[in-house]
Amino acid sequence: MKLDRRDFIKLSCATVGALAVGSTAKAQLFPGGFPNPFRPPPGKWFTGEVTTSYSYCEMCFWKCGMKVSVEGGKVRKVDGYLENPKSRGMLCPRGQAAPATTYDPDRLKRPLIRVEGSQRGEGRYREASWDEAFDYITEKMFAIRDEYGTESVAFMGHGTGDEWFASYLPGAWGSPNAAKPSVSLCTAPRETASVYTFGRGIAGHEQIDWDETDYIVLIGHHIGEDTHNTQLQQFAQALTRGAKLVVVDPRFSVAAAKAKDWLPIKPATDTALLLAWINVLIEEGIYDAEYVEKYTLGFEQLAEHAAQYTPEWAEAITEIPADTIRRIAREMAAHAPRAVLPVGRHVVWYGHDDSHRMRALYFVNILLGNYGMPGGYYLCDAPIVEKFPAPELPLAPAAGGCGGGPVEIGDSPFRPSVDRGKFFGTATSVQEFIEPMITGEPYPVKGLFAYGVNIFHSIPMVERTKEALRHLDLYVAIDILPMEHVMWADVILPECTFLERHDDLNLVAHKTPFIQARFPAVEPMYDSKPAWWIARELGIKLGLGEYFPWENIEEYLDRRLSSIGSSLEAMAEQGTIVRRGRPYIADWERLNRNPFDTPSGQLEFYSERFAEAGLDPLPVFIDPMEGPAGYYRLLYGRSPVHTFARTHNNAVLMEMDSENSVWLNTREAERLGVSHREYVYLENQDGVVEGPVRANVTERIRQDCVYITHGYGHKAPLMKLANGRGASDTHLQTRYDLDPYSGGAGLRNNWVRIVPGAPDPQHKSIAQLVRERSQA
Amino acid sequence: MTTPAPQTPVERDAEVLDLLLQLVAGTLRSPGEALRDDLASGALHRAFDAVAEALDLDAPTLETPTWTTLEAAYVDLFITSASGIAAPPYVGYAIDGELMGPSAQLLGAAFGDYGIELQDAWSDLPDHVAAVAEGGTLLVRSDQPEAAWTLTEGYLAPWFDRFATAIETKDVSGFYGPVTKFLQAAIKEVTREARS
Repeated sequence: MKLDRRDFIKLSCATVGALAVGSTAKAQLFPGGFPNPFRPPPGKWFTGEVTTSYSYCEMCFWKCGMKVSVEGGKVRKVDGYLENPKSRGMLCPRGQAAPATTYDPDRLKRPLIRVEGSQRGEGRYREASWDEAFDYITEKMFAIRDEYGTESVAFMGHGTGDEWFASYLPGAWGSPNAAKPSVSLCTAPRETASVYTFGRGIAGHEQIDWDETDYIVLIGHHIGEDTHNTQLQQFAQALTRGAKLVVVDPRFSVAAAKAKDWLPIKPATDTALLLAWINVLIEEGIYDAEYVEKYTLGFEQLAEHAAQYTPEWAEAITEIPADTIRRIAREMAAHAPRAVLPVGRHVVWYGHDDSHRMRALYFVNILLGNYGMPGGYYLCDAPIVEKFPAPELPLAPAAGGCGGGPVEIGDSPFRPSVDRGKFFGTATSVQEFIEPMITGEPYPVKGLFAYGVNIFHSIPMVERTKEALRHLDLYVAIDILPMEHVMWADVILPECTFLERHDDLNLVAHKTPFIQARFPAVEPMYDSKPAWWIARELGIKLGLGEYFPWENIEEYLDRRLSSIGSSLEAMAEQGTIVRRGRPYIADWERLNRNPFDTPSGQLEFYSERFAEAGLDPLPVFIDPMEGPAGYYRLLYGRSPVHTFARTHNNAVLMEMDSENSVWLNTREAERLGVSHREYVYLENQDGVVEGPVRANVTERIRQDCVYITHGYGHKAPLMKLANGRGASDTHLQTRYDLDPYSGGAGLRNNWVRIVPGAPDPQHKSIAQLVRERSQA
Repeated sequence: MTTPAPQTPVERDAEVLDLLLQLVAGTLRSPGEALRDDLASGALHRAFDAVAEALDLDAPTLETPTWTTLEAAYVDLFITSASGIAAPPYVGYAIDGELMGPSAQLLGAAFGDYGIELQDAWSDLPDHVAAVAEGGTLLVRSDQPEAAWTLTEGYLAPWFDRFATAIETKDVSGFYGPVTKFLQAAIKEVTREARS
């Protein structure tokens, strides 16, 4: 009989054979019948040696610095540390729960190739070596290149590794069709508006001078629900210090509960309110005239333009009394420049209106004289660390980023991205890839990489996306967990979790700019690999090795750090290097430097660039899209313990918040006969149904809208904790409106009706599901 | 002159245990060339027959799926599946309900005590059911049948008890279902005999 001697375990004869060892081992090898020596003694969570290493968190993209403690080859605990300006010694629940993702039994484990002849979405795969997977991918990419051009392979990425898959590799390969959902499905309007107002991007870490401000106006900004650790700490400290808070929101949010004024604005009318505040500040002469005179351009045009936007005009649109509008404006002015309207992060709300709203918000701040002043917006730039010496990429990355403005592509031998001409900005829009995959216009997109993007839970019009995937010649998914879309891929590449890998340096634009590093705390589990490795190996296979001249990540990082007189070894000892910032205009003026990189060198109320492009040079209010009768505008937001749709299979976090609910005004619920906590369905204007989802009958929301938290409603049985809980806002977003300035997709243009009488899905508790894991 | 000690049941059954553990290791690791050869030559079927005869069990009736079907079934059952895998192939998970938990760590330490260590080429967790079975065969062959027996009863048996039925239910290949149900029964029988 031939049974091959497996060779993955080897025997060291030197230590084998003593009966005493066998006798001892027998006792140890009986986990069911003998005391387990590895059970921790009471009061102590470890028995072996504990080692620690530095990292920065990837559970959301705030990226707090953390220390990782390992014992027995397993990550046991993570903590913030005081020296890191983001964590400041603390982590949020998501950070604390990071080990539960590393040890999630549902993780992707090894490269898989879809079985030949099976359909995308059918889910039939075979294992492959990394080499075999790369060979498969490169063969397809070369075929696409030869028939359609390099531009016909598109790339999407989200997370630290997206620099490799949405910027570097596409730049080396030659595709401008590279994008991040964190741009056009999140921040695009604020970045475009910021660049063309301040001459600076907002940057990932919103630069609000919380420690110095006395008066805060949050407009659709859900602090306490979108838990950005540092921001939350500083916000709480500001309120403790006595700062006053006004919240403008159709919903009585967590932040609203802390506010002195809650202004329940009619959805989609925020721009009207901001224009009215501009009107009051100017008409009443309570803006910071000296600041405006010194630092701005176009005030006269703005004053003339804003004269029409009276509080009475705004009251009719926003349903906020004119007197309240005036009172808040006067209070802001009284506290200026230590009064601030913080910029939010997810700002793609209504599309056509979004950049106008962001510009108007910035204008109010400028009129308060707070940009670059204590208590307002501080100025920040990322620390400079040189790139690893490598040839210039053939194509400048076009994906933009959460924290950066769009990149001007300039002259290029490559065709422009498929969305060019649809909007003013130059960062590629992720949702605009989809239609060309189906229609082939303006040219075919036949290949797609999705790195860390759950495309069925981020890009609107999910059925269109599925249809697009069916048209591709190549679909590659790189991820940690088997999200729904992953099982549609031709090739699945498993990435290791951030606790198992190095990553590129994180250069943070902050009041005190800093550099933080990530070190692997443990070896990657299974056959998973880090993004940098996957990108480099694939790049080499594609003949792009010259752009990846480093041998390994340690060499890459050490070389970069040497440019600032540091080293990888030194970073391993300190984790974070903090620089001195220049947060205020005065810091720049002392150096005779101008922080405003606009064409005029001034803060620009009036944009010649927009005017030249045929766009409104000043913000205007545009009537919002209206929904059908009997439907509610669908609003969405965040759970404080979840990130997008990424963390819903994490046992620790799901234990805290395991399903979403739909907020429905009490009077509407009475009219519909819906009771609190009853399960209902949501049906949108196009007949798409989601749920069952619990009704949260509450006075905390207006009657013309409903609200759910994003990221629930997974349809992935393999993700055992996430599957089937709650409703997906993305699946209900079957239409969007494109912002003509930034290319952002306004997602709040969808309406739903409540369908009572859904069955109780009888979900098991998360604790029960976890307990079942251990029931032999 | 000393009289040799009589063989214990464990020692008597070591040969069967060795073959049984080879079958676990050979069939429940990722399907590769060795399994393909063993299937093609009939060696695998003969090995199942031999174990069945020794333990007075019915040999499994194995279908002969295409290689593609077998590979896809393995992924679907043990690695990644759109509908959820049937069985994480880790013995510590079956015991503790978590990966790299106390049992997996105990197992690793025990293998270390016996001088058994993972080779670099192995790209899965140390307590993969096939790896543990492989370790058991090494114990048998290094005159540690007692240790192999406790390894089988303490670690492999719970995994089969936990997952064999789920594998049988989900398997579409006609191979892994019968294999795991047979191996479950065989392990139960061989450990019962040894205990007696």
